[in-house]
Amino acid sequence: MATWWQRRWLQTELNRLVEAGLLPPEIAERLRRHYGVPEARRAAVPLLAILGVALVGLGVILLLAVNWETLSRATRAGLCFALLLAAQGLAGWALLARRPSVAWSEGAALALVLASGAAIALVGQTYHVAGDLRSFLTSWLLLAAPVPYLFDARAAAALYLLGAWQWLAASLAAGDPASLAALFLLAALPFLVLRARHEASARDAFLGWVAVPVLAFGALAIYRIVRLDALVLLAATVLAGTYALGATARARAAGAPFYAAPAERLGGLAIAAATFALGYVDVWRFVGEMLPARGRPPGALDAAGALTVGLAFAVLAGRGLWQELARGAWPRALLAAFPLVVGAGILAVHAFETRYPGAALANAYGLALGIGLVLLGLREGRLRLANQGLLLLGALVLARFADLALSYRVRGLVFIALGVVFLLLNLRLARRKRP
Amino acid sequence: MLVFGLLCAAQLAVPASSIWQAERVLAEGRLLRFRTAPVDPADLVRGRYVALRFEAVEGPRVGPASLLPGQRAHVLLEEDAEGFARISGVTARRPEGGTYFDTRVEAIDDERVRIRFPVDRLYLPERKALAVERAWQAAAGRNGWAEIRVHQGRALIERLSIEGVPVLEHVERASALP
Repeated sequence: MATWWQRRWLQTELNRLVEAGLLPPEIAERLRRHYGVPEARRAAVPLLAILGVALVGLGVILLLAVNWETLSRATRAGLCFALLLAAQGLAGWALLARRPSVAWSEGAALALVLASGAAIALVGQTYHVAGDLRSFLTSWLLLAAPVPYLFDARAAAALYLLGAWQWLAASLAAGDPASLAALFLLAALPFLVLRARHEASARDAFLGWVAVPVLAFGALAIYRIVRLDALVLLAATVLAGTYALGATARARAAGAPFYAAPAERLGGLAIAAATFALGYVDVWRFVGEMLPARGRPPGALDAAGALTVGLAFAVLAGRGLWQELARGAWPRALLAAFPLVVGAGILAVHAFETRYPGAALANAYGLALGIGLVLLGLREGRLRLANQGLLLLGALVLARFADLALSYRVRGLVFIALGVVFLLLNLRLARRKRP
Repeated sequence: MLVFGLLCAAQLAVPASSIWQAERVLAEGRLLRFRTAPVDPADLVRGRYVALRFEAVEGPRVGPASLLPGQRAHVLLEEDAEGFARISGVTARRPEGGTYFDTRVEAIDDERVRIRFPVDRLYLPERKALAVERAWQAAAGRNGWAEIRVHQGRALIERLSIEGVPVLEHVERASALP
């Protein structure tokens, strides 16, 4: 069974071959039907519809924010309902008459979400309703939550997720409880799970690039964790779980371009960045540190919530670790094992009462990961993967070379020892290749 | 389609109920004057506004029921000799009559209860916002006050005044001077 990405590639190729006169149109048509490739369509149409509606909607919101003094309260109320009814009419028509059209569904859903936001904002402005952006977002998110389900719309879902993220960020900044954000994010979860289970497409990939960071940030920030090492360990588990989830999805998205696997890309990139940061001795100062207490102190619900989130992502990471080891892809298994390295580092720093073991572990892990990615890239013929490994190795080497927290003697000896190991490996491989 | 219909009804009901409640307060509410202290800013979707802080933000706890920070409470209001509103009491039980608004408790110190004031902003036309803000900064706490309508626990700001003149009119008069 060909994936969406493979069929899309085939469609482009068939069009090219027919245009070049290398393939008769009737054969191309038979191939299209065999693989279930839809008729040639303009992929830019839904994108332009989304962009057009988004710009018009945001423009209307900005114009309303001018607060025209010539408009009476009755005119403003009329404007509010006219805007909402126009969007609802458009959405209803799209739902009834244009159901299969991606452009209509996406555009109408986005218009509905933006219009409901504009209506709430206009009433708030007219009557000077008290409250910050969060109080506006609460009403707006509640009304926007069903829209992605009704229209199967990714752009509306992405906007909803960004709103929930904004709500969460504002709560954290104010030092207020953020547990309501959990409900907002949970409301979007079934839609995301449904999309993830369904065959992936370019629209799903777009949603993924928004959903993955929002959900990862949400998983970390909703519950109050004041111990910094616990927070770092949870972050490592969330990143590894996210990576492993993406790596599992990758198996289903054969033939997909690099942007089709947001969880894998973002998870892997964040793990590499975190490894690089943890390579510095001073960073391990977080072990045993407490976050400054703001607002109410964390309670049992926070601990239980954080534990649940940690366990859920640990299960995902564990499954990924097992699958990658079974496939023999140990560099990818290393990425899924990231929380084990961070946990071991924290334990070592606690046990030896010095930060050096933590940094040493992170550097060793980064080194193994970099080498592993280079070897895997060469083995699978994927130059980009090999280059990513080289980039990580190069960054680590340069960072340690310039790291003044380590003595010149230690750095010099470690560099020479590692250099010798590489040269010996090279010699051995070269001898093995000789006839 | 049923779900879509319900969603549309909810989307219309939210602004409609806000408008209905606000119009009732403005039509039937009692008008009180509050002394204010100055501040500033802009809202992403609702435009520019003057942020307001009020002097009347605490009063004595009344009634047998205790109050906790974050709890909903009813704030009883009365007018002083100069005609400005002040808080005569904060209670957990809904008053039978009188003038009061509903809000949340911020903090409690002995029998004094500090409340979150239910009005915190006045939205302004974009072009006049800066001039009003400047005029208000100079007047707040001295000869500027907010006129707020209160009805059955709800409070809505009607206008800001400087020396008894609505703030927009005051700014227009000042800019017309040679």
